[in-house]
Amino acid sequence: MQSSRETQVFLSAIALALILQLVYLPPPLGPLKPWFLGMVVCYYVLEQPRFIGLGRAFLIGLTADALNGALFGEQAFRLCIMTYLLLRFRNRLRFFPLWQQTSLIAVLFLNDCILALWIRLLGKISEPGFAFWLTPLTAAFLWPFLFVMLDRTRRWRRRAPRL
Amino acid sequence: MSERAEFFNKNADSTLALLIYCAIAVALVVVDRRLNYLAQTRQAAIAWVLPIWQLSEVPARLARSAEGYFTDRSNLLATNERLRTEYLLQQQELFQLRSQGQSLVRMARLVTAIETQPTLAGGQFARVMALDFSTNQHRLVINQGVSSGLAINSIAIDEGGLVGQVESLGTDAASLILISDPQHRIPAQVYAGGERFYVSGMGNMRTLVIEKLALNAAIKLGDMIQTSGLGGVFPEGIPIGLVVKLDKMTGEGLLRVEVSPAANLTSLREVYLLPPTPAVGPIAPGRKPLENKPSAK
Repeated sequence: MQSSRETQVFLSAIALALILQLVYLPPPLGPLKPWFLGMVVCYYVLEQPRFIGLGRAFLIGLTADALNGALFGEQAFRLCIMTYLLLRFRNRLRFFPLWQQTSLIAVLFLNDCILALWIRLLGKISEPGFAFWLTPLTAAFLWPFLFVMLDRTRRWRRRAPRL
Repeated sequence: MSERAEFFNKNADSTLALLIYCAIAVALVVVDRRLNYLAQTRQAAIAWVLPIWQLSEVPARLARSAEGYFTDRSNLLATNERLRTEYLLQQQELFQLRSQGQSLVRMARLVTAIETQPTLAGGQFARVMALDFSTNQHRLVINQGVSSGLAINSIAIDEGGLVGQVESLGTDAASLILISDPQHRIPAQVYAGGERFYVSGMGNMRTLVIEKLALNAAIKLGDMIQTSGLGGVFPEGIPIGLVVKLDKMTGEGLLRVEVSPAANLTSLREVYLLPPTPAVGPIAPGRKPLENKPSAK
């Protein structure tokens, strides 16, 4: 029962991230929009790795590509690498204070930006604008909120039957 | 030890998996880019996720419509302002055109009158430059003066009838005293019967007055009043106006007649100026027109 609730939260978080990815934002905010899907996947790799492995990350990435990818396989590739890195350093990252975690998330997303650029070069797609390089910062900025929010949602879900 | 080995093993596994997945992903990217094989797959996927797209469009659409509402509102206000200004300008133009048209019509009438009446020949046109329509004096300034051959007492008419006479002269301007000026008098007569009298101004551009007429004077409502030509200055037969009111002055046995001027005094734009005529015939009783005009002032 609890596990199914958790699954629901997980699926809805992923779905929400996918939708957010598609949401149009007005020009000053649009290019700064972080990669929500990557953030949610990050959270789950850190907190609930049983939900997410490389295979699932790959599938989620493919779904995201089908939705809004520049190239089919691009986000799958990026998610895989991100998941792998996080799984590697998960044990350390989990015990970092939130601000350190946040700065590492920024670095991780910067790495992801470079990967995305590489994929784009591979696919001969035009380079993204300057704002693209600021998305790690917005991701880092939003990370604590997302972290706390998802934590709360999961716990609330878990506690709800008891209350 | 075994734990450690397992850990490394797991790591190795995941690295292998990563490599495989990455290879697949890169292959997908390259295939997608170069061969475009996956376009259909992607389209199918897109068709499948279309509801999500639409759902994700909702806040965007809301934001856009809100944005549209606000920009539209400000745009509308700006447009409204612009259109209003344009409307006013065009209205003004229209009025100008209309008044030009009217003055053209009037000019045409005047020209016809001048051409058909030999007594009106030899005059000249002048534009009205300035007006002074206080209750005590009705003057207007025209753009012709001595340089164009005007003389004191030149007669000004418009397409309807008598307007006034030149009172003072400049080189290129002249001041006219209007027939509606309270100090102005014209020797006049009834067109039909020939009854003679003076028509005076009373400081009202729409009304002239004939004071102290005998009760049995041959004058009735609707009679045409014109200049008599007596006493000089005004040639005979220039229309002054129509009788619009006959008042019996109580206790005096006299008639007071109000005349509506034939000339369009309220909206003069140009006048036709005639040289003053020398006196013909006997001088009318009372003061002479020359003295009637406020030359003493």
